[in-house]
Amino acid sequence: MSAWDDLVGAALLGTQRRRPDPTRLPAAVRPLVAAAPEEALLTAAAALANYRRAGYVPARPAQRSPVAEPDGRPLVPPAARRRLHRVPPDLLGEWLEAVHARGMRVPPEHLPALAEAARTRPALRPLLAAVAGPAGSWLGERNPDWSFLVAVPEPEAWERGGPLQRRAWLRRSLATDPGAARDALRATWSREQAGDRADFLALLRPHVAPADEPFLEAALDDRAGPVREAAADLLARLPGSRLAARMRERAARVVRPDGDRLVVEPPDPGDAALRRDAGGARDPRQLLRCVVGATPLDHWSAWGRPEQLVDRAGAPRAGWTLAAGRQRDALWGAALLATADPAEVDGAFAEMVGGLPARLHRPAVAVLAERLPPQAMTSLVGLLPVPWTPELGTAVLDWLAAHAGNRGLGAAARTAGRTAPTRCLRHPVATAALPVGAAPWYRELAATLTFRREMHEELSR
Amino acid sequence: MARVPWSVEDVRALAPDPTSAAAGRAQAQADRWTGLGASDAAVWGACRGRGEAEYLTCVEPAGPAFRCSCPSRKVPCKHALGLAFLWADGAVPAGEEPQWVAAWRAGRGERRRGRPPGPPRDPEAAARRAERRGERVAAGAAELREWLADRIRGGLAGAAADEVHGVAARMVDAQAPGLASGLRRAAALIGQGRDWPGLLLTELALLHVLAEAATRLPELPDDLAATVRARLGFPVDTAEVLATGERVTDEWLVAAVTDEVGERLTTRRTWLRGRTSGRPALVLAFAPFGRPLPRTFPAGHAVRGTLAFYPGAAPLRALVADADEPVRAGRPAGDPVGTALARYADALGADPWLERWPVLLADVAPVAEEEGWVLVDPEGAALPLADRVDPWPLLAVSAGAPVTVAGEWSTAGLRPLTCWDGDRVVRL
Repeated sequence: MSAWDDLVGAALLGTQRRRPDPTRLPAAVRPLVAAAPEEALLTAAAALANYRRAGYVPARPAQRSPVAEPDGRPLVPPAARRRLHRVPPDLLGEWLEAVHARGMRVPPEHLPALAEAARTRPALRPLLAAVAGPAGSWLGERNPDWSFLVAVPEPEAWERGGPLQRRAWLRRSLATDPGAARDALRATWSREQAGDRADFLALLRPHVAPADEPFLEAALDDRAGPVREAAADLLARLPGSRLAARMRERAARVVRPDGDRLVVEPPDPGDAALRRDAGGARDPRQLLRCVVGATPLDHWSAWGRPEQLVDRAGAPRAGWTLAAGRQRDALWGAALLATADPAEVDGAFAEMVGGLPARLHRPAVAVLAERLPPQAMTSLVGLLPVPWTPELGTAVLDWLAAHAGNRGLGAAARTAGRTAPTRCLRHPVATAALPVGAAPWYRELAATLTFRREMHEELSR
Repeated sequence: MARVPWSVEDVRALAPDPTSAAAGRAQAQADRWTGLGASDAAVWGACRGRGEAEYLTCVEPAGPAFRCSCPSRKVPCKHALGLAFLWADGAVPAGEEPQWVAAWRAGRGERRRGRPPGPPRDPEAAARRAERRGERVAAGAAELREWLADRIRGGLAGAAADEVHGVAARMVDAQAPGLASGLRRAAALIGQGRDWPGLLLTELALLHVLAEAATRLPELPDDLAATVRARLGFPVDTAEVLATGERVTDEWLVAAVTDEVGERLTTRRTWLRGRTSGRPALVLAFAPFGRPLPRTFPAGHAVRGTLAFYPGAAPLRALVADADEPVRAGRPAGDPVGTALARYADALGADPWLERWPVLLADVAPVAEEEGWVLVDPEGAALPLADRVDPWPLLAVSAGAPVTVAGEWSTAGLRPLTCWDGDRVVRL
């Protein structure tokens, strides 16, 4: 036991029970402690305590940490560094993407706070990992909470990466190297979890091509319902597929013209082959929608032009809406939205509107704003597929600007403020004076657009 | 604009509390403001409040002084903070001061000049007051020594925080705030952590020596007596420090700045280091809770000027007697661990009550050891980071590579406050 431990032990018990042993004290301290035992203990403790402090011996660790690869990318400009503190969490992704697109990096001292933000918002993780670079990998290797920052070498991302890294790899590769992406997907398909299989098919949707047909046809017999549904949806997007041909035959049996009317004979829910092609739907109305929605739209051209057909009695509008969105058919889309009913606004309807050629976005939104009450427009804005074209963003902002006093449009304004593409950020909503009687959302929308514009401008400086 | 605007962090530091800072940030949207402008001496604008109300707001950065026509009692109010944030963001254009700004500034200048001078100095009365205080402190110190002896006789195992706080309150009555704060530190240690008996004994033993020194001030050498008086909490007249304190002129590196928020008082410690003298210095600034701190030097800058040191056996605390505008400085040269520890040992030898010591370490690399992170210098010597420190911002800057770090060294470990990423200063 050291002299110091002896003193602490005596102090803890009290000198009335135990006295420290004076012979243990260093010779230089002994003359100081001739007084009463309590005084002696306190004086000796003061001397020894500072003796220990002043004589602190630094440790000599045997190991060294590996050093992260140097990061040659420039830091974001000072104005962007100052802004980082007040970027709202739902704009962080856009900010990081803009930083990444310009080949810049974030001052490293901000990485811990950003990593904490990404813990609760997984969508930020792949982006943050890209922006954080080698310093991020170094941190992720040392803090298990931030393991998503560890970079996986590009060729191994699919084989060894985490769920988000694999999705990010597939999304990127489908755009840049579709052949390799499809080979990788097929190679691991049988070992993937059901949830992953459904997600991977969703990522394939914007890229689906005739060559995918055999693979997707097999997926129609998948064990998992969501996978079967996704496969049926993708095949319905290929007008030349066997599934489309089978649906065309069924459509001819199910929907027939009868003078000015269309007569529908609901499909038989007991037809197992139909249920397979419909991704598992059972309800007759759902099955009708699947049949019509997967039938190539040219099937109906013998009976008339779209605008002549869409408001006939008995018209299968839900199926046509689905088909117009999937096949990106502008004629059918225009005809359907010109006769739209508020109850028809759903995801498929929004996909049809978003899938129109960009030059039609402004007239389309103008027509819909005439036909639909603000509430239905608000749900439509929330459902429109992202990213929006600049034309679509401008059209939605125009519509909002024309209803500045309507207090019920807050949700649509919030969506538009965050989704409008960068080319819309100088829209008059943000740059012109606040109109008299504007609802509270209007100012908030203007502020969001201005904030985003400044955010992008200062990164470009 | 000739004046360098504040940084966003500067403005945040001016807010009386975090809520105010957030509210001020929300006001910092250019579309809420009209008539924004800034001159060399002031920033102004009109802010649309709730409903129809419009408030006139003006900030004088030099004071700093704030004025707003809103009814809030907080100073600065959220409008003034919002205006300052906008200015920090570079969103306020230069302009001519409008009439109301000029009128308000003129009025403030008069009030400042017209303030009545302090009570007439009466050296005899002052001497009597000092003598009475000395007697009360000596009596308090004697009482503390008796209590300490009793406590050691009975054993620290039976010590209760309430009891220690009671003695601290009596030391406040005895006008010995230094003894009181030492006791409060001791009370906070009881039962905390594995090594609390050792830490508590250290704290109490050093208080015992301080109390003993208090009873024999006249016998002590002048420097040591000054140190003891400072540790006891005797007030020191700043005018006297400026008039008679040791003066050192140098180019001072602002190595670190840290704020300690207490119940009633916010204390800002600014650690300086003379580039040629190598001397460390501590400049303190205070603000009552909820009030902004005065402007101080920003970390990582260098300032040419003269400091006046408070008297003491290991003079560290100083006042700025005269200084140029701070300028940005690059990465400073630092010390190896051994040199930093040797300086600390010297200072501790002169002032045994030294709580924390400034270190500026060159090229230290982080290493994860079993007990926590340590910083290793090129010679292989390591200092541990204090337990309470969040190591990650420093680790992120280093990413394993050696960095220059400024911080405070104490028994608890190293508290890094500033580091350099190349030539870029990072406040941790």
